[in-house]
Amino acid sequence: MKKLILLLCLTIANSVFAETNITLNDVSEKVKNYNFTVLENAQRVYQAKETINFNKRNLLPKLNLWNILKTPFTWQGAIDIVQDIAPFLIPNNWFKVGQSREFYYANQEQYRALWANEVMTAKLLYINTLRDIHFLEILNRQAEKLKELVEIAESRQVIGSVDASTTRFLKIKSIEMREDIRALENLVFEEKKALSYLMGIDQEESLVLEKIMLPKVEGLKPIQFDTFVFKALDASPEISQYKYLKEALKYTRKSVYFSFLGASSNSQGVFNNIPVQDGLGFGAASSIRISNSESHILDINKESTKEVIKKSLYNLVNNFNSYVSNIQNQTERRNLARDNYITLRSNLDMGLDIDPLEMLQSVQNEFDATISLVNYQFGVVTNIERLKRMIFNDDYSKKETMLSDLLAKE
Amino acid sequence: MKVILILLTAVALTGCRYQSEFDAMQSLAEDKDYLEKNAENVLSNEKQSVIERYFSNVKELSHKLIKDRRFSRNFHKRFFRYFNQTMCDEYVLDKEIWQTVLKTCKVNGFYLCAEELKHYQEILKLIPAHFTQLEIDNLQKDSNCNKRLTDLGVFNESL
Repeated sequence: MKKLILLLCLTIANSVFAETNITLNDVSEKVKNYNFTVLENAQRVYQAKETINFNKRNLLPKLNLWNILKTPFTWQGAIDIVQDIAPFLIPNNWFKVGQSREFYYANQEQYRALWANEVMTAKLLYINTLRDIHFLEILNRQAEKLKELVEIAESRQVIGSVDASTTRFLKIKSIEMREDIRALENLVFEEKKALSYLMGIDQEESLVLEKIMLPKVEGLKPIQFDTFVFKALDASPEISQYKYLKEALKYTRKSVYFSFLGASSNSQGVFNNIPVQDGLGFGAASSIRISNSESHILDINKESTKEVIKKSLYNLVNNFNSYVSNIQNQTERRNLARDNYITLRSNLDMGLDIDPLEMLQSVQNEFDATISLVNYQFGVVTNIERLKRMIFNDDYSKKETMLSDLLAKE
Repeated sequence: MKVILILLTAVALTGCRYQSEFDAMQSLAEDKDYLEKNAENVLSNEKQSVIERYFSNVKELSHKLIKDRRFSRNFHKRFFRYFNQTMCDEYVLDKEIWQTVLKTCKVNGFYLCAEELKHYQEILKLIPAHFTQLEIDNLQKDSNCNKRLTDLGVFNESL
């Protein structure tokens, strides 16, 4: 019985304090399979695909008992219920099939964009969390150094070589540091919980993030906007969705022309604002003009999307090149600050009279320079990740709709 | 008069049905030449455009052939009229050139060319299943074409 209770306790403890180890490479897979927004959007794509089937099957005869009962059994009567007995004779029903296929493709492209954004958000959060964990380690080391400095000041205050005000000042700095550590620990905690949510991991589980290899920024070469912009525009699902939407719009225009053969019983979908008469009437010209205007709107949106992509890309390329050209400054700053601290520290160890405030300044300099360099290196990783999203490389390289359709296993 | 009218309407409706596919084939030949000449050159905007056009055309024509039954029927009907044994020479980029082009697409660790380029071989491998044996035999008659397609994995060595 005791064993059973022990086993039960262990199981409960295990489930309450379960830890999940994840790597940066796991993130895209987890987001793809478990992210709530991605899952919801995948359902929308599924619905769009099923709509094609619905429209195809809508071409087959259907049974509407009341329509049949109220129709006299004559040829004219049969024509009255043509929508029920021979819907395939109505061209607009065929257009609906084609249009729903185009909407499905557009939906897939929207899904690809959303999926890539969610993957990027999760990966950037992972990187930022790692950066903050790194900051926390540096902060803890800094706190140790300050504690040591306070102890030195206190012992020197006894022999009168240091003022009480200096010791108090150092203590204040030490307390401030502890407060910074507490705030940063909370931030890391919140970031891990947000990351769990993005990856669809239970909030009860505690995440353990594997470290990543920081890139050797010194080895990177500057990049050109011109070669990246082509790929960014070519790979962008935000732009390619417009190609499918314009194709879908053509079917609406056709349905206006062929409305004299009857309207489709299915709804218009995305282009509900374009009025289509049930029969070819004097309103047809207006319908066509409205659909042309809709086409212009799509063109305007496409151009605007292109410019937004270019704007983001210019900033990313500029940032990347700026990181590459300034890494030397950052490294040198950190090295100088560290050398300075090491010199002062060894002088102190040799028993020389070092002003604690000068020592504090040196510790602070080294801390600032280290934080800046770490921030810089993580900045490069973030920038590379954003560039990859922009040009759909590596984890973001989800195949374009037609390619994916072609290579899909039958 | 009625007959002429019907004939004219039929020609107007069916004559240009595959004009865009025909244009794509023409473009394949020109772009293939460009890629052969510039395979080793550093990636430029022009080269990116040609790569995108060539491999997108390969993808779109293959998609048509495999997924569009009407297009496929027309293709088989006209195969022997339009495609002789020089078809490979005219349209198909060989494996070596393809791999050279692929290498120039990596800049600073980033892949900057059309996604279709990576899947060129995979796409071509799908096609033979949609060719008749007679068409395959015709392509294999030309030893250069046979070698090129075998290297790309389109035909098996044993065939």
